Amino acid sequence: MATDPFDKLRLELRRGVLVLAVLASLRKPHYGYSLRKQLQQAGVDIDEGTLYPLIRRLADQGLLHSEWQQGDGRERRYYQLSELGSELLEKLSAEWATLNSAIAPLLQTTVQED
Amino acid sequence: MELINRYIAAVQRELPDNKREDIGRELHANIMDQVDALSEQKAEQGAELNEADLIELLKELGHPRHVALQFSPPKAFISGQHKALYLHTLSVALIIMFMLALIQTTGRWLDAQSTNFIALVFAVGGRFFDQALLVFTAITLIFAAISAQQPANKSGANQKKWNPRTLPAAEQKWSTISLQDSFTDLGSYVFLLVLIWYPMSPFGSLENSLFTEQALNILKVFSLFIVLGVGLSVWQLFTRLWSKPMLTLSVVVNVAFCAVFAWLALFVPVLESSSFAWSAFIDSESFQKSFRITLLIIALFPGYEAMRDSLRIRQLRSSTG
Repeated sequence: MATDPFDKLRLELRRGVLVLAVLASLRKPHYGYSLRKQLQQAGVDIDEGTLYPLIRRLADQGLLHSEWQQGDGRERRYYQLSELGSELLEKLSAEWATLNSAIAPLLQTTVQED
Repeated sequence: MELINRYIAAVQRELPDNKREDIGRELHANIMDQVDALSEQKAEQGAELNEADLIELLKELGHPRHVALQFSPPKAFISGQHKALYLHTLSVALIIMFMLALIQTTGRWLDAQSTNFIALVFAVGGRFFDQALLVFTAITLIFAAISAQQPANKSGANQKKWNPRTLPAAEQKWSTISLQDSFTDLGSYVFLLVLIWYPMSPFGSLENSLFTEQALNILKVFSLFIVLGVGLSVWQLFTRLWSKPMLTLSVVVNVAFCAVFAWLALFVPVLESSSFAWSAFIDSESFQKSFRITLLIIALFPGYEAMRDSLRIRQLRSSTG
Protein backbone atom coordinates (compact mmCIF):
# COMPACT_ATOMS: atom_id res chain seq x y z
CA MET A 1 0.00 0.00 0.00
CA ALA A 2 2.90 2.33 0.70
CA THR A 3 3.91 2.27 -2.97
CA ASP A 4 0.41 3.08 -4.23
CA PRO A 5 0.72 6.92 -4.20
CA PHE A 6 4.21 6.56 -5.68
CA ASP A 7 2.90 4.37 -8.51
CA LYS A 8 0.12 6.84 -9.30
CA LEU A 9 2.43 9.85 -9.34
CA ARG A 10 5.04 7.96 -11.31
CA LEU A 11 2.43 7.07 -13.90
CA GLU A 12 1.37 10.73 -14.21
CA LEU A 13 4.99 11.86 -14.48
CA ARG A 14 5.79 9.28 -17.17
CA ARG A 15 2.66 9.87 -19.26
CA GLY A 16 3.77 13.11 -20.88
CA VAL A 17 7.43 12.12 -21.04
CA LEU A 18 6.59 8.89 -22.90
CA VAL A 19 4.84 10.86 -25.65
CA LEU A 20 7.99 12.92 -26.05
CA ALA A 21 10.19 9.81 -26.13
CA VAL A 22 7.94 8.08 -28.70
CA LEU A 23 7.79 11.13 -30.96
CA ALA A 24 11.56 11.55 -30.77
CA SER A 25 12.15 7.86 -31.58
CA LEU A 26 9.85 8.01 -34.59
CA ARG A 27 12.01 10.44 -36.51
CA LYS A 28 12.96 7.15 -38.20
CA PRO A 29 10.28 4.63 -39.21
CA HIS A 30 9.52 1.88 -36.71
CA TYR A 31 6.93 -0.81 -36.24
CA GLY A 32 5.49 -1.46 -32.77
CA TYR A 33 7.94 -4.06 -31.54
CA SER A 34 11.06 -2.36 -32.97
CA LEU A 35 10.02 0.92 -31.37
CA ARG A 36 9.67 -0.77 -28.02
CA LYS A 37 13.13 -2.30 -28.37
CA GLN A 38 14.62 1.08 -29.31
CA LEU A 39 13.03 2.73 -26.28
CA GLN A 40 14.22 -0.08 -24.00
CA GLN A 41 17.78 0.27 -25.29
CA ALA A 42 17.57 4.00 -24.56
CA GLY A 43 16.52 3.18 -20.99
CA VAL A 44 12.80 3.96 -21.36
CA ASP A 45 10.85 0.90 -20.32
CA ILE A 46 7.27 0.84 -21.55
CA ASP A 47 4.92 -2.12 -21.73
CA GLU A 48 3.21 -3.14 -24.95
CA GLY A 49 -0.26 -2.49 -23.57
CA THR A 50 0.64 1.18 -23.19
CA LEU A 51 2.89 1.68 -26.21
CA TYR A 52 0.76 0.24 -29.02
CA PRO A 53 -2.42 2.21 -28.18
CA LEU A 54 -0.29 5.34 -27.64
CA ILE A 55 1.19 5.12 -31.16
CA ARG A 56 -2.28 4.73 -32.64
CA ARG A 57 -3.60 7.75 -30.71
CA LEU A 58 -0.70 9.88 -31.95
CA ALA A 59 -1.36 8.67 -35.50
CA ASP A 60 -5.08 9.51 -35.13
CA GLN A 61 -4.05 13.04 -34.10
CA GLY A 62 -2.07 13.37 -37.33
CA LEU A 63 1.33 13.42 -35.59
CA LEU A 64 2.46 10.17 -37.23
CA HIS A 65 2.20 8.66 -40.68
CA SER A 66 1.60 4.93 -40.84
CA GLU A 67 2.04 2.40 -43.59
CA TRP A 68 1.72 -1.38 -43.83
CA GLN A 69 4.90 -2.99 -45.25
CA GLN A 70 6.09 -6.53 -45.83
CA GLY A 71 9.26 -7.47 -43.94
CA ASP A 72 10.80 -10.81 -42.91
CA GLY A 73 7.86 -12.61 -44.49
CA ARG A 74 5.32 -10.75 -42.40
CA GLU A 75 3.29 -7.55 -42.69
CA ARG A 76 4.06 -4.81 -40.22
CA ARG A 77 2.69 -1.35 -39.66
CA TYR A 78 5.44 1.23 -39.78
CA TYR A 79 5.06 4.60 -38.11
CA GLN A 80 7.01 7.79 -38.72
CA LEU A 81 6.76 11.39 -37.58
CA SER A 82 4.56 13.56 -39.83
CA GLU A 83 5.24 17.21 -40.59
CA LEU A 84 2.84 18.26 -37.87
CA GLY A 85 4.47 15.77 -35.50
CA SER A 86 7.94 17.20 -36.28
CA GLU A 87 6.76 20.74 -35.50
CA LEU A 88 5.18 19.59 -32.29
CA LEU A 89 8.23 17.61 -31.27
CA GLU A 90 10.38 20.70 -31.70
CA LYS A 91 8.11 22.76 -29.45
CA LEU A 92 7.78 19.99 -26.89
CA SER A 93 11.55 19.47 -26.81
CA ALA A 94 12.06 23.18 -26.09
CA GLU A 95 9.41 23.00 -23.35
CA TRP A 96 11.06 19.92 -21.89
CA ALA A 97 14.48 21.63 -21.87
CA THR A 98 13.04 24.70 -20.11
CA LEU A 99 11.24 22.59 -17.52
CA ASN A 100 14.25 20.40 -16.97
CA SER A 101 16.60 23.32 -16.43
CA ALA A 102 14.13 24.89 -14.00
CA ILE A 103 13.42 21.75 -12.03
CA ALA A 104 16.94 20.32 -11.85
CA PRO A 105 18.26 23.02 -9.45
CA LEU A 106 15.12 22.65 -7.32
CA LEU A 107 15.65 18.91 -7.01
CA GLN A 108 19.34 19.41 -6.27
CA THR A 109 18.50 21.85 -3.44
CA THR A 110 16.08 19.33 -1.98
CA VAL A 111 18.68 16.56 -2.07
CA GLN A 112 21.30 18.79 -0.46
CA GLU A 113 18.87 19.83 2.33
CA ASP A 114 18.14 16.15 3.01
CA MET B 1 -1.24 -19.90 -32.66
CA GLU B 2 -4.80 -20.82 -31.80
CA LEU B 3 -4.33 -19.10 -28.43
CA ILE B 4 -3.17 -15.91 -30.14
CA ASN B 5 -6.14 -15.89 -32.52
CA ARG B 6 -8.46 -16.49 -29.60
CA TYR B 7 -6.85 -13.60 -27.70
CA ILE B 8 -7.12 -11.18 -30.65
CA ALA B 9 -10.74 -12.18 -31.24
CA ALA B 10 -11.46 -11.49 -27.56
CA VAL B 11 -9.91 -8.01 -27.84
CA GLN B 12 -11.83 -7.32 -31.06
CA ARG B 13 -15.13 -8.24 -29.43
CA GLU B 14 -14.62 -5.35 -26.96
CA LEU B 15 -13.85 -2.81 -29.69
CA PRO B 16 -16.23 -0.62 -31.75
CA ASP B 17 -17.10 -2.11 -35.15
CA ASN B 18 -15.14 0.46 -37.17
CA LYS B 19 -11.89 -0.28 -35.32
CA ARG B 20 -12.07 -4.05 -34.96
CA GLU B 21 -10.34 -5.17 -38.11
CA ASP B 22 -7.57 -2.58 -38.13
CA ILE B 23 -6.61 -2.96 -34.47
CA GLY B 24 -6.86 -6.77 -34.69
CA ARG B 25 -4.51 -6.80 -37.68
CA GLU B 26 -1.99 -4.56 -35.95
CA LEU B 27 -2.21 -6.44 -32.66
CA HIS B 28 -1.60 -9.68 -34.51
CA ALA B 29 1.54 -8.24 -36.17
CA ASN B 30 2.85 -6.94 -32.85
CA ILE B 31 2.23 -10.23 -31.02
CA MET B 32 3.90 -12.23 -33.80
CA ASP B 33 6.99 -10.00 -33.48
CA GLN B 34 7.10 -10.74 -29.77
CA VAL B 35 6.62 -14.46 -30.44
CA ASP B 36 9.55 -14.40 -32.87
CA ALA B 37 11.78 -12.61 -30.38
CA LEU B 38 10.81 -15.06 -27.64
CA SER B 39 11.45 -18.05 -29.94
CA GLU B 40 14.94 -16.74 -30.69
CA GLN B 41 15.60 -16.24 -26.99
CA LYS B 42 14.46 -19.79 -26.25
CA ALA B 43 16.54 -21.21 -29.11
CA GLU B 44 19.62 -19.55 -27.65
CA GLN B 45 18.85 -21.42 -24.42
CA GLY B 46 18.45 -24.66 -26.39
CA ALA B 47 14.70 -24.84 -25.80
CA GLU B 48 11.54 -24.50 -27.87
CA LEU B 49 8.66 -22.12 -27.46
CA ASN B 50 5.74 -23.92 -25.81
CA GLU B 51 2.14 -23.13 -24.87
CA ALA B 52 3.10 -22.00 -21.36
CA ASP B 53 5.40 -19.34 -22.86
CA LEU B 54 2.58 -18.10 -25.10
CA ILE B 55 0.20 -17.93 -22.15
CA GLU B 56 2.75 -15.92 -20.19
CA LEU B 57 3.28 -13.56 -23.15
CA LEU B 58 -0.45 -12.94 -23.57
CA LYS B 59 -0.87 -12.45 -19.82
CA GLU B 60 1.82 -9.79 -19.92
CA LEU B 61 -0.05 -8.01 -22.68
CA GLY B 62 -3.05 -7.78 -20.38
CA HIS B 63 -6.65 -8.93 -20.21
CA PRO B 64 -8.40 -8.51 -23.61
CA ARG B 65 -10.91 -6.05 -22.12
CA HIS B 66 -8.11 -3.94 -20.65
CA VAL B 67 -6.20 -3.94 -23.94
CA ALA B 68 -9.35 -2.98 -25.85
CA LEU B 69 -9.94 -0.10 -23.41
CA GLN B 70 -6.39 1.13 -23.99
CA PHE B 71 -6.91 1.12 -27.75
CA SER B 72 -10.35 2.67 -27.59
CA PRO B 73 -10.93 4.49 -24.28
CA PRO B 74 -14.62 5.02 -23.45
CA LYS B 75 -15.98 8.53 -23.82
CA ALA B 76 -17.97 10.08 -20.97
CA PHE B 77 -21.69 10.04 -21.75
CA ILE B 78 -21.99 13.63 -20.49
CA SER B 79 -18.73 15.54 -20.80
CA GLY B 80 -17.28 17.19 -17.68
CA GLN B 81 -17.70 20.57 -19.37
CA HIS B 82 -21.49 20.12 -19.58
CA LYS B 83 -22.03 18.22 -16.33
CA ALA B 84 -22.87 21.20 -14.09
CA LEU B 85 -25.39 22.60 -16.59
CA TYR B 86 -26.85 19.11 -17.09
CA LEU B 87 -27.41 18.61 -13.36
CA HIS B 88 -28.94 22.08 -12.97
CA THR B 89 -31.28 21.62 -15.95
CA LEU B 90 -32.27 18.22 -14.67
CA SER B 91 -33.04 19.61 -11.18
CA VAL B 92 -35.17 22.47 -12.50
CA ALA B 93 -37.03 20.20 -14.97
CA LEU B 94 -37.73 17.62 -12.27
CA ILE B 95 -39.00 20.33 -9.93
CA ILE B 96 -41.38 21.57 -12.64
CA MET B 97 -42.55 17.99 -13.24
CA PHE B 98 -43.17 17.60 -9.51
CA MET B 99 -45.23 20.80 -9.47
CA LEU B 100 -47.33 19.57 -12.38
CA ALA B 101 -47.87 16.22 -10.66
CA LEU B 102 -48.82 18.08 -7.47
CA ILE B 103 -51.37 20.29 -9.27
CA GLN B 104 -52.96 17.42 -11.20
CA THR B 105 -53.15 15.03 -8.26
CA THR B 106 -54.30 17.58 -5.67
CA GLY B 107 -57.18 18.53 -7.97
CA ARG B 108 -58.34 14.93 -8.10
CA TRP B 109 -57.85 14.56 -4.36
CA LEU B 110 -60.09 17.56 -3.72
CA ASP B 111 -62.72 16.23 -6.13
CA ALA B 112 -62.76 12.95 -4.25
CA GLN B 113 -63.25 14.84 -0.95
CA SER B 114 -60.69 12.53 0.54
CA THR B 115 -58.99 13.07 3.89
CA ASN B 116 -56.38 10.41 3.24
CA PHE B 117 -53.24 12.51 3.00
CA ILE B 118 -50.98 9.46 2.64
CA ALA B 119 -52.93 8.43 -0.48
CA LEU B 120 -52.31 11.92 -1.88
CA VAL B 121 -48.55 11.63 -1.21
CA PHE B 122 -48.41 8.25 -2.98
CA ALA B 123 -50.49 9.52 -5.91
CA VAL B 124 -48.22 12.57 -6.34
CA GLY B 125 -45.14 10.34 -6.08
CA GLY B 126 -46.47 7.84 -8.63
CA ARG B 127 -47.44 10.48 -11.18
CA PHE B 128 -44.14 12.31 -10.66
CA PHE B 129 -42.04 9.19 -11.25
CA ASP B 130 -43.97 8.38 -14.44
CA GLN B 131 -43.30 11.82 -15.92
CA ALA B 132 -39.84 12.28 -14.39
CA LEU B 133 -38.54 9.16 -16.09
CA LEU B 134 -39.40 10.57 -19.51
CA VAL B 135 -37.94 14.00 -18.71
CA PHE B 136 -34.76 12.45 -17.26
CA THR B 137 -34.26 10.33 -20.38
CA ALA B 138 -34.93 13.22 -22.78
CA ILE B 139 -32.57 15.66 -21.01
CA THR B 140 -29.83 13.04 -20.64
CA LEU B 141 -30.01 12.14 -24.33
CA ILE B 142 -29.94 15.81 -25.40
CA PHE B 143 -26.84 16.48 -23.27
CA ALA B 144 -25.22 13.26 -24.49
CA ALA B 145 -25.75 14.45 -28.08
CA ILE B 146 -24.29 17.89 -27.22
CA SER B 147 -21.29 16.21 -25.51
CA ALA B 148 -20.72 14.03 -28.57
CA GLN B 149 -20.79 17.02 -30.92
CA GLN B 150 -18.61 19.35 -28.81
CA PRO B 151 -15.81 17.26 -27.36
CA ALA B 152 -13.39 20.19 -27.21
CA ASN B 153 -13.53 22.60 -24.30
CA LYS B 154 -15.04 25.73 -25.75
CA SER B 155 -15.71 27.41 -22.43
CA GLY B 156 -12.16 28.74 -22.26
CA ALA B 157 -13.14 32.10 -23.70
CA ASN B 158 -15.86 32.56 -21.06
CA GLN B 159 -13.37 31.88 -18.27
CA LYS B 160 -12.19 35.49 -18.51
CA LYS B 161 -15.60 37.13 -18.78
CA TRP B 162 -16.50 36.99 -15.07
CA ASN B 163 -15.73 39.66 -12.53
CA PRO B 164 -14.60 38.87 -8.93
CA ARG B 165 -16.65 41.88 -7.75
CA THR B 166 -19.86 40.00 -8.59
CA LEU B 167 -18.98 37.22 -6.12
CA PRO B 168 -20.74 37.32 -2.72
CA ALA B 169 -18.72 38.38 0.35
CA ALA B 170 -16.85 35.46 1.92
CA GLU B 171 -18.40 35.96 5.37
CA GLN B 172 -21.97 35.83 3.94
CA LYS B 173 -22.31 32.07 4.01
CA TRP B 174 -26.08 32.42 3.55
CA SER B 175 -25.70 34.10 0.15
CA THR B 176 -26.08 30.84 -1.81
CA ILE B 177 -29.68 29.65 -2.05
CA SER B 178 -30.15 25.95 -1.56
CA LEU B 179 -32.05 24.18 -4.31
CA GLN B 180 -33.95 22.24 -1.67
CA ASP B 181 -35.26 25.43 0.00
CA SER B 182 -36.49 26.89 -3.29
CA PHE B 183 -38.06 23.56 -4.17
CA THR B 184 -39.86 23.26 -0.81
CA ASP B 185 -41.15 26.86 -1.02
CA LEU B 186 -42.35 26.42 -4.58
CA GLY B 187 -44.13 23.18 -3.70
CA SER B 188 -45.89 24.82 -0.73
CA TYR B 189 -47.01 27.85 -2.76
CA VAL B 190 -48.37 25.76 -5.63
CA PHE B 191 -50.16 23.41 -3.22
CA LEU B 192 -51.79 26.39 -1.48
CA LEU B 193 -52.89 27.93 -4.79
CA VAL B 194 -54.48 24.65 -5.86
CA LEU B 195 -56.27 24.33 -2.50
CA ILE B 196 -57.69 27.84 -2.86
CA TRP B 197 -58.54 28.01 -6.56
CA TYR B 198 -59.23 24.47 -7.74
CA PRO B 199 -62.74 24.23 -6.17
CA MET B 200 -63.63 27.49 -7.98
CA SER B 201 -62.29 26.28 -11.33
CA PRO B 202 -64.51 24.65 -14.00
CA PHE B 203 -62.95 21.29 -13.02
CA GLY B 204 -63.80 21.49 -9.33
CA SER B 205 -66.80 22.25 -7.16
CA LEU B 206 -67.09 24.99 -4.53
CA GLU B 207 -68.77 22.50 -2.21
CA ASN B 208 -65.48 20.63 -2.05
CA SER B 209 -63.53 23.62 -0.74
CA LEU B 210 -61.76 23.07 2.57
CA PHE B 211 -62.23 26.70 3.58
CA THR B 212 -65.13 28.73 4.91
CA GLU B 213 -66.49 31.46 2.63
CA GLN B 214 -65.00 34.18 4.83
CA ALA B 215 -61.53 32.56 4.81
CA LEU B 216 -61.76 31.88 1.08
CA ASN B 217 -62.44 35.58 0.34
CA ILE B 218 -59.31 36.56 2.27
CA LEU B 219 -57.26 33.81 0.63
CA LYS B 220 -58.39 34.86 -2.87
CA VAL B 221 -56.92 38.33 -2.31
CA PHE B 222 -53.90 36.80 -0.63
CA SER B 223 -53.28 34.67 -3.76
CA LEU B 224 -51.51 37.67 -5.24
CA PHE B 225 -48.77 37.24 -2.63
CA ILE B 226 -48.67 33.48 -3.19
CA VAL B 227 -48.10 34.12 -6.90
CA LEU B 228 -45.34 36.54 -5.91
CA GLY B 229 -43.90 33.69 -3.80
CA VAL B 230 -44.00 31.38 -6.83
CA GLY B 231 -42.18 34.03 -8.87
CA LEU B 232 -39.61 34.43 -6.09
CA SER B 233 -38.96 30.67 -5.95
CA VAL B 234 -38.56 30.42 -9.73
CA TRP B 235 -36.18 33.41 -9.63
CA GLN B 236 -34.20 31.65 -6.88
CA LEU B 237 -34.05 28.42 -8.87
CA PHE B 238 -32.39 30.20 -11.77
CA THR B 239 -30.19 32.68 -9.88
CA ARG B 240 -29.19 30.72 -6.76
CA LEU B 241 -27.66 33.84 -5.10
CA TRP B 242 -29.43 36.27 -2.77
CA SER B 243 -29.53 39.88 -3.95
CA LYS B 244 -31.09 42.98 -2.40
CA PRO B 245 -34.16 43.00 -4.71
CA MET B 246 -34.69 39.28 -4.09
CA LEU B 247 -34.40 39.70 -0.32
CA THR B 248 -36.83 42.64 -0.44
CA LEU B 249 -39.37 40.55 -2.33
CA SER B 250 -38.85 37.73 0.16
CA VAL B 251 -39.54 40.10 3.07
CA VAL B 252 -42.75 41.34 1.40
CA VAL B 253 -43.98 37.78 0.74
CA ASN B 254 -43.09 36.52 4.22
CA VAL B 255 -44.67 39.51 6.01
CA ALA B 256 -47.85 38.94 3.98
CA PHE B 257 -47.85 35.22 4.87
CA CYS B 258 -47.24 35.93 8.55
CA ALA B 259 -49.98 38.58 8.70
CA VAL B 260 -52.60 36.55 6.81
CA PHE B 261 -51.95 33.34 8.74
CA ALA B 262 -52.11 35.21 12.07
CA TRP B 263 -55.30 37.04 11.01
CA LEU B 264 -56.96 33.79 9.92
CA ALA B 265 -55.86 32.06 13.13
CA LEU B 266 -57.14 34.80 15.43
CA PHE B 267 -60.25 36.26 13.80
CA VAL B 268 -61.73 34.02 11.11
CA PRO B 269 -63.12 30.48 11.08
CA VAL B 270 -60.87 28.89 8.50
CA LEU B 271 -61.94 25.32 7.85
CA GLU B 272 -65.30 24.14 6.65
CA SER B 273 -65.75 21.51 9.32
CA SER B 274 -68.50 19.72 7.35
CA SER B 275 -65.91 18.72 4.78
CA PHE B 276 -64.05 16.59 7.31
CA ALA B 277 -64.91 13.09 8.30
CA TRP B 278 -63.10 13.19 11.62
CA SER B 279 -66.14 13.84 13.81
CA ALA B 280 -65.87 10.34 15.22
CA PHE B 281 -62.48 11.23 16.77
CA ILE B 282 -62.67 14.95 17.55
CA ASP B 283 -65.52 17.46 17.84
CA SER B 284 -65.70 20.40 15.46
CA GLU B 285 -64.87 23.07 18.05
CA SER B 286 -61.76 21.29 19.35
CA PHE B 287 -60.66 20.68 15.79
CA GLN B 288 -61.02 24.36 14.83
CA LYS B 289 -59.16 25.37 18.01
CA SER B 290 -56.29 22.97 17.27
CA PHE B 291 -56.13 24.23 13.71
CA ARG B 292 -56.00 27.89 14.87
CA ILE B 293 -53.07 27.13 17.20
CA THR B 294 -51.29 25.24 14.43
CA LEU B 295 -51.85 28.13 12.02
CA LEU B 296 -50.49 30.59 14.59
CA ILE B 297 -47.34 28.48 14.98
CA ILE B 298 -47.01 28.24 11.19
CA ALA B 299 -47.29 32.07 10.98
CA LEU B 300 -44.13 32.32 13.12
CA PHE B 301 -41.99 30.78 10.36
CA PRO B 302 -42.56 33.44 7.66
CA GLY B 303 -42.30 36.02 10.47
CA TYR B 304 -38.86 34.69 11.34
CA GLU B 305 -37.83 34.59 7.67
CA ALA B 306 -38.99 38.20 7.15
CA MET B 307 -36.80 39.35 10.08
CA ARG B 308 -33.88 37.21 8.91
CA ASP B 309 -34.06 38.63 5.38
CA SER B 310 -34.32 42.22 6.70
CA LEU B 311 -31.06 41.65 8.60
CA ARG B 312 -29.49 40.19 5.46
CA ILE B 313 -30.46 43.30 3.46
CA ARG B 314 -28.67 45.40 6.09
CA GLN B 315 -25.61 43.15 5.86
CA LEU B 316 -25.58 43.47 2.07
CA ARG B 317 -25.90 47.26 2.33
CA SER B 318 -22.99 47.50 4.76
CA SER B 319 -20.78 45.15 2.67
CA THR B 320 -21.36 47.11 -0.55
CA GLY B 321 -20.97 50.46 1.25
